[in-house]
Amino acid sequence: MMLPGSGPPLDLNRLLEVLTRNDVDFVVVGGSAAGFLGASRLTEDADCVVRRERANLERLASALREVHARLRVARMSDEDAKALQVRVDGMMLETVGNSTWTTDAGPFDVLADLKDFEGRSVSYEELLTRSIAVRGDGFAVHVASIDDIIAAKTFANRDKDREALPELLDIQEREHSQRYEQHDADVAFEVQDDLNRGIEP
Amino acid sequence: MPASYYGDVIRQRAKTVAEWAERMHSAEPPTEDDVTVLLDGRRLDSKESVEAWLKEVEALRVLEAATHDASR
Repeated sequence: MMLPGSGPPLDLNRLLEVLTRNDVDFVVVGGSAAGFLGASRLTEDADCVVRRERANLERLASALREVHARLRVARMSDEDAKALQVRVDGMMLETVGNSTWTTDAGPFDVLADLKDFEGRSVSYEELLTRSIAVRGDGFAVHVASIDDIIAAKTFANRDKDREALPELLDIQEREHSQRYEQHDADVAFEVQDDLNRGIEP
Repeated sequence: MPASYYGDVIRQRAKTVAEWAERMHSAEPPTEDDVTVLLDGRRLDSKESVEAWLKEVEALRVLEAATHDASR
């Protein structure tokens, strides 16, 4: 069932720019990450797994406040959600596993982790080792690998996950057969080079 | 409805965040089963459940502040 159509549409560029400017450690996962990799079945929210450390959660809270985040709650309009007076800070974010937000830059979901095929928790740190770097205008972000996305969707096993899997498996085949390694290495090198020279990536 | 997939030609990776963001314009809105879930497994799927949780968080803040003051 669709959520009542309230709240702005997704502005992924702005959302990712705000997160990186606030120095949030995160990896983009889920349908939005699949969209980056080429999937056509997209849901209009950005899903990110974040580093579960208080300082990072405080930075995330700052980013959420900047885009006027309010909780997305079933059967509640965006106006009612705004009236809840939620104080967004690191303490609050520590108590939630997955949180769903409406922001001025569109729907945004924050996840504590992903699950692998067996339901084992896969942390930000582990996702980062397999992630893909992509450049924005003055910033860079990390996107989860197709293998991690498929594992999470296979474990979740909801109707929408099962429907998405055939295309994701074809993307996985392409990813494994094409040589993206050099591109990833080039982007990672450029970002590191910028950082070494004191330039914001 | 999201686009159906019948083994169609798959798009390549987006080259930039701007290209990626453009793709996301055609996305579907999130569904109602997409709700906040606490670490203890509770789902915040009603106004009442959110208000109860906010009270717990406020109590944690008070406790943390008191612990911080005591350790100074």
